[in-house]
Amino acid sequence: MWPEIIREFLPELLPKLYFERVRLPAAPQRATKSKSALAVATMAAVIALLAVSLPFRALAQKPTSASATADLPAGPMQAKATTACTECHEARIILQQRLSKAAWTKEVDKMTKWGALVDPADRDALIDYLSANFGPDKPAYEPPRTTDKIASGKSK
Amino acid sequence: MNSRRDFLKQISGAALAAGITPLLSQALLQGQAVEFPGEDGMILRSFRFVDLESPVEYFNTWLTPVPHFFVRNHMYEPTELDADDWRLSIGGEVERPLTLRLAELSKFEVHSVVNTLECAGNGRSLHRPQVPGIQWGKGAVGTARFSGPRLRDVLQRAGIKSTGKHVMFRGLDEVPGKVPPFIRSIPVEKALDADTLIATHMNGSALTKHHGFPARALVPGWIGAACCKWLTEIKVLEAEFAGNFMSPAYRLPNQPMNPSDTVKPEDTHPVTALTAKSVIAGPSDGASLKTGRVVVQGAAWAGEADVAKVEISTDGGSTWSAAKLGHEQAHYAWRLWNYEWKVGKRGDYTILSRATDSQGRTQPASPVWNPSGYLYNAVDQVKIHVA
Repeated sequence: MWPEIIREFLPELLPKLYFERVRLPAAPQRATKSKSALAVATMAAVIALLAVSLPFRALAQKPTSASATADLPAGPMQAKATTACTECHEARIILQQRLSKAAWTKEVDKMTKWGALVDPADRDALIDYLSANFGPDKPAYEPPRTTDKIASGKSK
Repeated sequence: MNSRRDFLKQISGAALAAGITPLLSQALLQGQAVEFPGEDGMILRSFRFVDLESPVEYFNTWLTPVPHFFVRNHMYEPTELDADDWRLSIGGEVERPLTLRLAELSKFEVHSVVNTLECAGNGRSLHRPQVPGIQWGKGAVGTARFSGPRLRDVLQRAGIKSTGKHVMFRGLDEVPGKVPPFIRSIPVEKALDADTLIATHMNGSALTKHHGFPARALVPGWIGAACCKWLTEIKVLEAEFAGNFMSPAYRLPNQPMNPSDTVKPEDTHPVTALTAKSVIAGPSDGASLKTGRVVVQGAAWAGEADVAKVEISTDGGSTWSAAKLGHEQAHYAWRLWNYEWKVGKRGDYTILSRATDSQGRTQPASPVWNPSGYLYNAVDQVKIHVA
């Protein structure tokens, strides 16, 4: 079971754990190609280390942090909206909006013009999905706070 | 794409299979604060790209510490920023185009300006009907001492031609998809102001990556969007830069409008200087207090103008009393203020704050709605309970 989990989730988990280990000064913006050979070597070493220690680390160490990025809500358009929107920005930018259907229509058309991959056949369903979940009648989104403390609980 | 949450569900499934207590899997799934090195207690509006808001209770120091200073990004921060490789080009309508290294830039005379920097969209979430954009509460604002060469000294070395009327800034932020790049311009008069800087330092330290390392424009008293981060190109233009972030973005209607109206582009103007505004930092909205002495405190600013007075009402706006302004002041910086209130009676109260500036502008009782939710500056309020 563990090797499958590692294979499946390592690409997603790696930036976070790598980030904690080397204490980069800034949060990762997105997955980027490392140009330096040293960084590649470091990554390889981290992967090797993780392959051995991941199951133990994940269970023995209580994470103290929430997920950095949020998810879109369930619904028939969840997967397509995730593909179209979160290629460029995380879901939290959508989660915090409270817009009418007319306003969502403008947003979807603007974002499509700006490169969001929306099949013309899906446009209306996407607008309906966003309007239904993020209309003006919904309660305000409660954003999380940041913490400078790393997972071990020690301050930076 | 699989999320971290999915991964944790898998992990906890595995934990259960291995006979590990469900309590641990609950702990693994619990949502808590998001780790963010160097940024503590900030309101996370967006992680990718980074948008962080200061909680108003941080507005209790005249200079905002950098880890508590709001961050607004339209795009991704530059992946690679090397001080040695960084170059700043100055071109367009100039006699002698220049390219400066950081070491060369640092040889110009250094000037410091304490400036209150506010995102044009600060308070957007308070507009009704709501408008699209980052749903800032009250905290996309902060005050810092910015230092670096004057923009005019650099421009004068290049020699502005008489045809040069606007100055464009381009940063190194990385643009996703077909999104237009974040390029904006300011009129040459503001660019040549003695307090407009190419800032390299903030509160005495080199700019951090989130705040535009190694250099950003600092256009004092103006909206944050005028102050381009990761600055790499300055271009003198004959006219205002033509691009999304000059029009249709960052424009206000020339006349007040209703949400049901549409406004033509020619009936709008760029958002430039900030307006008169105050924010209550304490007591917090929803606080429960005891009778006796209550200190109401906060900050007030007015862009290019000075704060003339801040008034407080504790009876929902029927009567107003002057707050005491803090002694720390600078032309473009906010004033901290406080008001000592003696509460004798238990009950629910609405505390209001209202700033008036040296140009006679006063915060309006209700917000001035506009399609993008810029320059929200209605009278601030918190509701408290006295037990």
